Amino acid sequence: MEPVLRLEQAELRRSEGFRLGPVDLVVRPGERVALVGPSGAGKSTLLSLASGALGPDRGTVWLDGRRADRLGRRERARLVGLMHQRHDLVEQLRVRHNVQAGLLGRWSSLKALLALVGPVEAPEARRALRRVGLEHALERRTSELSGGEHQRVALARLLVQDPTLMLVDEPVASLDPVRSRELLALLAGIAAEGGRALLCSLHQPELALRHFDRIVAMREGRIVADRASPDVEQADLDEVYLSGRG
Amino acid sequence: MPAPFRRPGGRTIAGLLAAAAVGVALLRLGADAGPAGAGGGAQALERLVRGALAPERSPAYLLTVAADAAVTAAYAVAAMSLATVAGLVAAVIASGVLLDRAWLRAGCRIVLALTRSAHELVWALLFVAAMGLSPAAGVLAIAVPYAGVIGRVLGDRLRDVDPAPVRALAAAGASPLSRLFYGVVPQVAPDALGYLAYRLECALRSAAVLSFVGLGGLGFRIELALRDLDYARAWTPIYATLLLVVLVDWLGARTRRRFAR
Amino acid sequence: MRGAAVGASSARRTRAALLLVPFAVGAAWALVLAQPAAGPSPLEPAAWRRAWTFLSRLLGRGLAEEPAFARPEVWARMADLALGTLAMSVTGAALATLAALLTVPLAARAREEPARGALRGPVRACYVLARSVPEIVWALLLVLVSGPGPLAAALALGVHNAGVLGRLFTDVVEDVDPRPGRALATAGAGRVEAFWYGTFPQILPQVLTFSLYRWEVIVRTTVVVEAVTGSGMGAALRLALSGRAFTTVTVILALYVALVLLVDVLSGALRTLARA
Repeated sequence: MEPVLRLEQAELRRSEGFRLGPVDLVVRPGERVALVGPSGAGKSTLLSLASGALGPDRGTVWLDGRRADRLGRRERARLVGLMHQRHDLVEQLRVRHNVQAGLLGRWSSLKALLALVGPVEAPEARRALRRVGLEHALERRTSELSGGEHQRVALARLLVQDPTLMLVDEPVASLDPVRSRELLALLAGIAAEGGRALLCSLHQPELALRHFDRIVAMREGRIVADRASPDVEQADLDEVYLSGRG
Repeated sequence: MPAPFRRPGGRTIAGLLAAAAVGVALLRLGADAGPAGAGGGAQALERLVRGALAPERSPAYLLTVAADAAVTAAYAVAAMSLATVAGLVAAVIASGVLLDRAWLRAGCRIVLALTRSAHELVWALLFVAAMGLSPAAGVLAIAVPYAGVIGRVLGDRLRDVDPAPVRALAAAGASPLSRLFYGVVPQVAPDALGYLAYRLECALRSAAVLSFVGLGGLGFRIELALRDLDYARAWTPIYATLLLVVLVDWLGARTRRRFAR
Repeated sequence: MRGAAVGASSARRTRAALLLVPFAVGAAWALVLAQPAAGPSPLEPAAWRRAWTFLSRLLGRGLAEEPAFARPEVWARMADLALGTLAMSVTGAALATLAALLTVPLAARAREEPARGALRGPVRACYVLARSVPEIVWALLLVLVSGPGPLAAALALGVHNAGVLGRLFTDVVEDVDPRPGRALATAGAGRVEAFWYGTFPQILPQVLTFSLYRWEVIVRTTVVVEAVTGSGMGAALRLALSGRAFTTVTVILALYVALVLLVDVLSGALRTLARA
């Protein structure tokens, strides 16, 4: 079966001297992959490359067997969705609108405008919010929600977009351990339900081991390890983080 | 120990320059001044104040002034409707949120600057000379400069929007127009509405003044009264202008509170 | 949850308000177009021909003698008037700033001494009166008292803008940090010194910025006020229009735009300095 994501010798050079790559990575349908590594390792950049938001300076990004840079906006939205670290919700909109924004890749501009101003049934939004436990917040203004609730709204938007590959950037960076476990369980569950692949960056290795099938470790812009979870020892992960200090 | 204030640098220079400019201006003004005291002097002032304290309040006159107020308000609303639409279009072009072409943005900004440079009464004089004394001339005289300033202010706001949520929407597959509605507009809407409410209040004053050019409205009524030196009849429409402006100001504040959270 | 119910009803109210707008706009246009018009309606070609004629006259077409904008002495004369207008705008702005600064301590809510707030209401009402009455109206009233000429114009600009700036300055003063003033008072400074050394330096940048911004507006209005008080470039414009000297009008308009742009640039430069 065609891998959902393939990075082939992808490289990216940023202005501040930061360099990602070359990296080779394959994600197969339904896989749950954790991307671990210290800050500055390039996890967010890799996710941006995978989403097609950034183009590689060298190498190719393949989504579902097709070149990412040849895909149209709508096709790409069906294949891959990215949940940013900062959620990037529109604070001034209601939760319903932010969640429905996941459908903007499918709606015409006119329909989008009508959904914004008119009284419209929002079954998809309602379903998605119910799945993340926020159905009561449908009409609330996004700015009134807590950080954790922002997370779940962003997740609901991703759910509504329904891509084959879910990319998630540091979802639990600012959450306490209990909430982190809850959110990751939710994430893994949602991925499993839809048969969606999941590529998620984390900096807590123990959470990665617990919720994901496969661990990919990064350091200084390169991939240094890529193993199935049962084969990984805590010590290996510690090494990735500690030796990065050098 | 009190907080040490910074050594005055740029601020003092700016202040001194301003003071120097004022000094020069006063000297110049003194040179320009013609025969002083050619007016009614203290007597006129006394009559003015008396008129202010006891404006003409007969029901017939109040009705006339109310009708004038309605006409003035109508001019203001009509002009703002044109100015808002034109200004929004110009703002979108000048900020480049939908389509970013340097020449288009620069050209738009130049046009906006030109329309903004003349006061609405100057535009009115031009439009009336060009089109004759018609209501359209009055509406356009206000709409054109207002479109310029609305386009400039809202264009700047659109440009300063947080790009992160807009990028996230693009990643979700949204078209440029959808990105505008969902990502850009909600960010500027509260401020923009507040500014438009303020502009409406200004438009009311402009419309009142515009009627001096000969179009109906409160200004015309004020001019008529002053020509007959009837101060009591002059102050009623002046107070009406005040009431209109205060009303719109209050409405604007309420709208702003509703939307800004 | 309460949040959902409140959210839904406020959405309904917003939609109701949105529906009111087109209705109000339609009514306004109906009333405006019903006003008597002297001349053809803008939808008729006769109106456009007339506008075109006007435009071509501004450009000097079909003129028997030399157009005014080709004669340097006209430019010289009008430039002199333009300088006068510039001076007038500066005077008006200065008067307004001074009046506002002097009255603001009375109008602002004094955090330390609530008892002194007795004059707050009247002063703020004066600001509202001053800024709600358009400059032209003030000019007309003042002309009746002090006669036509630059004094009435300067006062009209000063009074109206004192109301605008007064309101803006009050907001600034109320947001000020009271600690420097308080510290100075504890160190033995009198109330006046405490204000000048404690409060004033904090508000100075904002005061300058607001005054400079306002100057840009004032210079545009100065011409119009001058037209009413019979002085300067404004009076010349009025004279030229009524005397049908259209090419002179072009000269005046060109200088007007140049003046406005100059003030915009100066204001921006001074504001950048003030921020430094």
